[in-house]
Amino acid sequence: MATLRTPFSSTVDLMTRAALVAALLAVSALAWWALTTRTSRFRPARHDGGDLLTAQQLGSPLGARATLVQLSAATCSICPRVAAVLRSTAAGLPGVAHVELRVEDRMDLVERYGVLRTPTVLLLDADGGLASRMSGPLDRETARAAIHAVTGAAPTDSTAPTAGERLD
Amino acid sequence: MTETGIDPRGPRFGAGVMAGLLVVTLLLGAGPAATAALAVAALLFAVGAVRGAQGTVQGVVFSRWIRPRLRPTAEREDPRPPRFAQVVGLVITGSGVVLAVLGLDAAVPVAAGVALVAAFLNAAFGFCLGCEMYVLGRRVLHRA
Repeated sequence: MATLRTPFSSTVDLMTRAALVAALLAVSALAWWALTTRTSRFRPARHDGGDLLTAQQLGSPLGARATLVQLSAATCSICPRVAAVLRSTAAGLPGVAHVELRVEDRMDLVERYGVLRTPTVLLLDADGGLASRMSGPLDRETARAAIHAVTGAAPTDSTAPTAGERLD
Repeated sequence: MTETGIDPRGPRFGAGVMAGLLVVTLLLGAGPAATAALAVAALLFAVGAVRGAQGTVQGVVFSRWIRPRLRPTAEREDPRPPRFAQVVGLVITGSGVVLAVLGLDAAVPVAAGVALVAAFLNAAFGFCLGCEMYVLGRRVLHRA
């Protein structure tokens, strides 16, 4: 990144730098857009975490049909909102549990499932096998669709969104 | 933390100011002027790392002059993530300044570029890159 010493005046350098800054901002905006559209949905698990996750390893009981394991961090600003969405979604679906864990406390799960950011949501089937996962902001409908894909049940409108609930 | 949360527009405004300063740093290229501009950025990040994003110079400007002119909002944000991001910003810009002082002028535009991407994403989209690095940092520490 050393400054080019050209016979041109320094205005050429300034123009070049301005163009580089503009390019940098454009590339980061594109990267951000690609990242958010890619991760804001549940995707089939690639890191399957090896064996099934037991209730003992999780530290709390698995849901009878599915379990949403949310890995959060104190530094994560959208984690509380995602937790609220998942908590109310799980509450409206029988046999679906929501467990929120802090990455600081559960580095074992972070390593095992290759978690890179918070929140990461691992969707486990009835046996504790990793069915799908997502990270980033999440809305109720996305969560419900992913859960129904695992439980095999047809979507039932067991609950309407509660008043004041924000859907992202 | 909802009671003691901060207005989320504050850190975004601060990031916008920081992005402007970092653009100036990049336009200055590599040299004493650019190093000085990056040092100012590092100093602002240091204030934020100690006092939180709401306690930075930009944060005070926001709460004193900008916020009263905006529509009030009930939305509140946990102050810890933005503060962590200030620490990340301090590490990046601080390394650039230290390397420049040690004679590596090229470190200034590199550090300013990295910090600009983070500040720009925060200001433009409310996406906190520094906060995203928290888990990666923990994993590196965990392995070490």
